[in-house]
Amino acid sequence: MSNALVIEDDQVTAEIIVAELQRHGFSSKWAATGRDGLALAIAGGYDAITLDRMLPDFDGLTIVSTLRSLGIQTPVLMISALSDVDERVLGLRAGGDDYLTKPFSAVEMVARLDALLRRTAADPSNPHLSCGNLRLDLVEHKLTRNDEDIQLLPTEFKLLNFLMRSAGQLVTRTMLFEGVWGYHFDPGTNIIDVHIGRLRKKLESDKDSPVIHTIRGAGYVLATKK
Amino acid sequence: MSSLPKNEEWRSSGSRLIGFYAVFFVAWGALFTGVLYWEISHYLGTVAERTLLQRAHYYQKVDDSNLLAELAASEAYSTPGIDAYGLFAPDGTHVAGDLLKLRSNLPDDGQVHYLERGLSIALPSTETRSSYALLARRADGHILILARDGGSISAVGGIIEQALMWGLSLSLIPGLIGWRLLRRRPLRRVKRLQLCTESIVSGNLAERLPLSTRRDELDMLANAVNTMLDHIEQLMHEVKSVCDGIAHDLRTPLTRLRARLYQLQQLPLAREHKQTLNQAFEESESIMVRFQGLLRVAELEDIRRRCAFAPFPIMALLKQAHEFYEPMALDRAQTLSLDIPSDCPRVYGDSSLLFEALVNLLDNAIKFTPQGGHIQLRGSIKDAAVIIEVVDDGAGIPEADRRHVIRRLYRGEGSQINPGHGLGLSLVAAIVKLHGYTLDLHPGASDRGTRVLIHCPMFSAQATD
Repeated sequence: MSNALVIEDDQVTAEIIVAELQRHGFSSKWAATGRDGLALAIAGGYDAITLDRMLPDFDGLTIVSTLRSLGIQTPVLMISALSDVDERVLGLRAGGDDYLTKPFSAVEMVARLDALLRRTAADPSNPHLSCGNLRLDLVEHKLTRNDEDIQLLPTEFKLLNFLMRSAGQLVTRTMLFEGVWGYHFDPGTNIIDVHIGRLRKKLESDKDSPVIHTIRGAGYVLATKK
Repeated sequence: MSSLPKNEEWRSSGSRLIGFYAVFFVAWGALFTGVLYWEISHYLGTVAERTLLQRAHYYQKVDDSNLLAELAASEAYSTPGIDAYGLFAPDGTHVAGDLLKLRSNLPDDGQVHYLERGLSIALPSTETRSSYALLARRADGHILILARDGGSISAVGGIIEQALMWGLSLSLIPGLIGWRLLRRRPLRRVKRLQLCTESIVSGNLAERLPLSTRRDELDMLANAVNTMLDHIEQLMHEVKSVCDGIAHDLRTPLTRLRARLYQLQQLPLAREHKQTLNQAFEESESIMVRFQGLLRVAELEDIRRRCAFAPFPIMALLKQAHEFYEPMALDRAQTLSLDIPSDCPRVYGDSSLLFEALVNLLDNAIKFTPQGGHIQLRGSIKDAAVIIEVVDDGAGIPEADRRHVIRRLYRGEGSQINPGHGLGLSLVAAIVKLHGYTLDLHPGASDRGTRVLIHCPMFSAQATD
């Protein structure tokens, strides 16, 4: 069971975050002020932290940069109500691992926190990914299914790579757009659906192949058939 | 709003005033000296006339036999070269005096006449001069002509003329120099003010017009404008803080609303309840999307946001946008073609924001072009600038709407059937403006569809600001 620290001054938002985390198997601890939050984070024992960017006593940026300067590498998901686009850059530069702007969806938050946790567990030396009968060679940029080659366009390769890294987990559209194309705005739902649709067509010819499920209003999950 | 033609050079009101004043001054001087001249010459003429009449009257009383002696005696007192006389025989031959010739244009009436060409005198200066003259016929038939030179009047006229010339040149030369100075210096100041206002118009609202220490009318005006700018800035700041306040106040409740609906969705519900809940969830979702879009345009309209600016290759971005949207066009049986030159110039800006602009343009183009339509994404280089074009052959934008579509939330009549937040083009406009590029909307080829042009100056190492 993963352990999360929620640093958030708004009680209702904090309750929602805690409830959502609990539903997804996190045990979580709520800190209402920056001071408490920083003390708890330094004491350690958490797998991930959600951090409000604007707290009454401390700036979220100060907390995250203090943690990093103390050598504490717990993944931090920053949550901000600040409208400025540059805030994202500032937040990540200060040492935050991901950035989410209010109002956010609970699904998005949990999906991103999950991704942060998995990222710490990822093995960078592994040159290929596997999911069901699919095998993706990261060096040769090749997809094989039961030793049969499947031709992929560069974008499709990147998409599948991202999905296979998070196999069985929810991946939201904005996460895909950030991970595959490298941009942080909302491109609208249709265009990502179209790209997923094309990739799905290439995979669905085999009935044992893993399938990309669309989760309505949330994102996609690559899952093996049982 | 009316505006003057730009290429015409600006003129100074000060120099115009001094020009008027110079003309007035010259005219007044000429009139004044003219009156003076006329008065003096009139007076001198009267004096000459009276002297002549006096002399004539005196000689009238002298006997013909004594006349010659008397003439010689009394004319000895007269000023040589000014007063003269001549006595002629009845047949016109010269008898005595300086005047050598009888003039036919002098009437024989005993009155004083003014002769323009004058009379010949037996003096070293042989030029004929203007003079007053009187012809008197004696009882013995001899003709006596008495004359007084009119040259003194011309001399007075000459003096006055010279005085006028001096006066005019002394006042006109400094006047002309003053005119040049008055033309250039205030214009230079006004030009500085103009540069300043241009910078303010382009978004630097914190800038103020420069004031001099002279406290003149230009300063008065500049000061009034500065006060106005202070006020405008304050108002804009208030509006922005109200907007930010609303945005901030809405963010938290919207986050809660969404989360509550989501929590509800996770509960076991009756089918019809679930359906209503899903609809409510989708509505809240669409509110969020619009709200985020509005906030984003508001952020982008703040011109100071330039921290992520760097030079980047623009054609690679066009290629990426084309790859990103080609599958969607293919799904709608449309063709999306890419036309870029082989060299890769760099432009200065935020590549992520420009990609967002391209995404919005292509999204609109695909959305508003019917199945089977054609969309072109073009990049071209012209005069040290990169021109990005998105051309479609869809419904197009009516000419009357073209200026409005870049406003927030505007949607044309024909677009109501399609979903969209109406923010696309205003977002593009905000991004283009932030970069200092220009955006133009035209109808496509043969008046069909839309042609959107973005004009980006190429990056050169010196041109970073």
